[in-house]
Amino acid sequence: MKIYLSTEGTYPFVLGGVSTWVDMLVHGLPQHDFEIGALVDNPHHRIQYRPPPNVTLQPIPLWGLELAEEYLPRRHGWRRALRTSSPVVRDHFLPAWEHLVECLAAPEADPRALGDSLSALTHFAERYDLRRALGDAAAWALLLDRLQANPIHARTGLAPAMDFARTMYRYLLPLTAPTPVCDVVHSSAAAPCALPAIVAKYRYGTPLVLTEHGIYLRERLLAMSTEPFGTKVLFANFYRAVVELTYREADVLTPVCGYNAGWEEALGVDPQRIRVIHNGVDPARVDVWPEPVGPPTVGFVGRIDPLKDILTLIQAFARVRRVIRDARLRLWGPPTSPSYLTQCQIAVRELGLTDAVTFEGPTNDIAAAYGASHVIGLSSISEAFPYTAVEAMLAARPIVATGVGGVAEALGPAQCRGTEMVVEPGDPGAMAEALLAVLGASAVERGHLGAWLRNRALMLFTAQRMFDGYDDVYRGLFDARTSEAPGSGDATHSSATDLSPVSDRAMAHAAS
Amino acid sequence: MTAGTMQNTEAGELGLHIAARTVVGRCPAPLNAVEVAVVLETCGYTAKRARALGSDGLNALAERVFALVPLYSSASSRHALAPVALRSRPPGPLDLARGLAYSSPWLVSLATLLISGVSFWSSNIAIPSIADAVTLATAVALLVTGPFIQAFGRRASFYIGLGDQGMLVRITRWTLELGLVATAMAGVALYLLRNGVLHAGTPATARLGLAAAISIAALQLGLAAFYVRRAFLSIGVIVGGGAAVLMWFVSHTGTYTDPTVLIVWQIRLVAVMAAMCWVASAWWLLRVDSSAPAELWRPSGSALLRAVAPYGLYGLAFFAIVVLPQLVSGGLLEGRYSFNAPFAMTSGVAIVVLVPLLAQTVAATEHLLARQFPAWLSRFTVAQTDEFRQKVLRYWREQLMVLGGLAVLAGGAVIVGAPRLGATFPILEDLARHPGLLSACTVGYLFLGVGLFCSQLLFSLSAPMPPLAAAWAGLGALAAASAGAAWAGPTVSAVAGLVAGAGVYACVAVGVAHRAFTRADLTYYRTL
Repeated sequence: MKIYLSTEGTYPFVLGGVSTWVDMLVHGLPQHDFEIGALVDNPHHRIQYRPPPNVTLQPIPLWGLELAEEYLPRRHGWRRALRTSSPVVRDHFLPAWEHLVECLAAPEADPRALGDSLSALTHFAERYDLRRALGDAAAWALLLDRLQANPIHARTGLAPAMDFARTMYRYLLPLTAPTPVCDVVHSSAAAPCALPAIVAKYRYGTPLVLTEHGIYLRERLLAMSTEPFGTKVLFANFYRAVVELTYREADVLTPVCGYNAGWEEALGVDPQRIRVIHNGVDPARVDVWPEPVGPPTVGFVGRIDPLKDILTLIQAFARVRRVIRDARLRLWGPPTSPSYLTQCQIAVRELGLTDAVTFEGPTNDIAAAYGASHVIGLSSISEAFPYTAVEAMLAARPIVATGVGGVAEALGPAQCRGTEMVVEPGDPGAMAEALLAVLGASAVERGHLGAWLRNRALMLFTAQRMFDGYDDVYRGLFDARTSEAPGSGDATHSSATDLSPVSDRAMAHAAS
Repeated sequence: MTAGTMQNTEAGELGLHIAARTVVGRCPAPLNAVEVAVVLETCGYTAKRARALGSDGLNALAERVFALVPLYSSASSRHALAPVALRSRPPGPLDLARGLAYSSPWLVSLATLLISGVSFWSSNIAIPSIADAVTLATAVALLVTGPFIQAFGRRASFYIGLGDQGMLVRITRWTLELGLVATAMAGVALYLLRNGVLHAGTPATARLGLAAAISIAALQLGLAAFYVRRAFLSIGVIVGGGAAVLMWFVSHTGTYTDPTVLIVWQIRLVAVMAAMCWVASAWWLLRVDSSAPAELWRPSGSALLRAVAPYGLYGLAFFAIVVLPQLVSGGLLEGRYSFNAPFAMTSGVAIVVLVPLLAQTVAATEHLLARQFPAWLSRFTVAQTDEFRQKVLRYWREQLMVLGGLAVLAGGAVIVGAPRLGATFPILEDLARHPGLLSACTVGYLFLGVGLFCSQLLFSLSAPMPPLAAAWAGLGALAAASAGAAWAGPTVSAVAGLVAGAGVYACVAVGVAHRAFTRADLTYYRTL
């Protein structure tokens, strides 16, 4: 089968979880041909992953170019530009643009209206020049008019309003990317990278799979949390509308963990369309080491990052150290924030742990890091489905982790001496209690726990299981398409959204 | 209700308020309960903790917390609504001085000319065939390199803004090297035409002309890389060094300087300066940091060409307006060329009026884009778009008036003052015999400066089509006026063409710039 896989800011240019997932997928399913539409911020990146022979790559840069044709294989751009006269813009572009603007400026973004306007814009972009149309005086006047008519947006500064309008051109660029005829389109996020996939569905009726590694809307809202209200409304509406449109059009959603599935259901997706396919790890890549000889050691493998909440782990370890005097804490991983690393180092000093806590730095040999630890600590305040947890399980190491994201799904009902291994985030006391339960247990008990975790990982979280899951989804959609008329994903999909819109109360408050 | 239950209820209420305060601390103006839920999650709130606070789950907790947000976010959300105005000071003498830096090679050349009586490629040479060859060479060099320099300037600035050194190096090679090749081919064509077909001049002067064309083009193109990087000190060192060498040569040749030897020296000097520019560019200015992200793939050549074509075509028309009157004054319309010394001398002096106008252009352009526009955009709201437009229009008129004042001062200085300097600088002593010609050329170049000012402002706003239209309208008027005045002789024809062409260019440029600034929000928005 031919699969169109769209990514955003990840494979093959950026190292990370999603990139690793894509790399594993394309290598693990060599029987399928993948065309990867990789949305990137600009065309100046190094390739970090070498695509295998069954992959063709089409990067889609959003910035770093003046004309879309500079990097997208679209011919006759000059003809499209010449054809795009003011009457053409008025008759063929403005209606769709007006719908889009009204969607985005309104308190509630109707996904159906957004989908219709994006579809119309796609048809327009096939024959005409989107940049010229967006730059037309009428397009700007219409946007300005809609914003001025809204009491919230009228008070927005001209700078952010203009920035929003110009950003729209960049975000709509994926609509101009060529989408191949293929059997299945697979988007790695409910984000602008899904737009080419949705276009393929509109154009060819190709079934759409959506895999969310993190909840895009959640991440965008977090990133914009300190933006001014008016600006946030515009962009949040756009992201929310793209998310809802993608949810609406996806035939199958395959989040990487049940936690993501919960968010998707809360955002209005019919549970019948959701099938969780957990991330997997190749067991052959993770060695099982015997328990280390030496002082009881808590290990951490990951980024030294505020979201990993290393400070809580350090505080928990301080309580462990009061009971187990010779305990050690070893932290492997690169710091992402120098200021946060400094905070952690100060905490170590102030708690008198300088002889017990070491920052080991980055490591390529995670198996050795796990092998050097008696128990792995994971104190994150935010996670999706962490590879770290699965790798530690395959290394047969006990883990104490906070129950965020998909961590609880990974560890299941793991216990040691009646103490659950999954604890609340931001609670050093609970973490310390669990760590003490493990370190205070005998080597045999720890071995049993480690073996249980490894068996659980081998049963549920292997790479092959993941590959089989996606292959099954692809074949199911392909067979359904070839045996029936393709569904458009409208009537049977949930159209209602439980997303609470910008409330009237908030709007009235902000306008006062 | 028992005491314990009341305590639990109070603890739950307190917990809600703590949660609300926590949310507002991270997110001053949450849009809805979804955003509140997201923020709560990153603060460590889980379903279990939500139940402890009396809610069914995190989303239910978020709804209750969202209801309390206005108690804690009133001041901060109102503050977040109001735009924060940036300050911007108007362009001052320092900006003008920096603008003069763009003309440093020219100023050095002028100083050399006044002090030692020679310049880098002076056309005022005693031997007519050499004068013809060098003038034609200069014309070819300017006409061919102009479009490449404009296209390069546009795209190079784009990549400098992105911080992409790799593409900057590539675009430098593609445009500037191509420009050099194109000039060489044009020079060879001219050489073959004059030497092989027209038999104008001698083979030696034809070769001299070819060498001059390539050297001048190489220097123009070489300096372009320094200009986009604002490396004025380097420009000054290279050009000043060349001037020093030239003055040393002239001072050591005794009372008589063989004009042929002098022109050969000048051309060699230009070639050496050009070589220094290219070597410095390759070795220092355009070095690629090996640790920088490598560009993944190259842009499509045809798309690149489409993007820069308006700038290139503008360059062609603009330099044609500069160069064609020289050729017309030599009899181009009669199918010949003979160096016209009076016209060359007066126009060579009159063009000095462009120096202060160019300085004002640079100062205004940099000020507008880097400081003024961001300041206005940050000050005005969407509802105040009309006020924004009026503000911009006022600024535009003020800058035009400043330009006009500078033009009057510069024009007066040249028309009145230059002929009087003949006693001090012998090279200017013939000026007094051509007051009308000097005045007409001065007016023509003042028009050119006004048109250049408007065009550069529009280029800075990524609006190339109006200046393109203005330049080609001017070129058309130049051709028509020159042809119309041909009966009066080459000099009058050239002057008529210069004044008409530059005048139309200026009028159209002012008109389109005015239109653009009347709708400044649209103009700025279009820099997509």
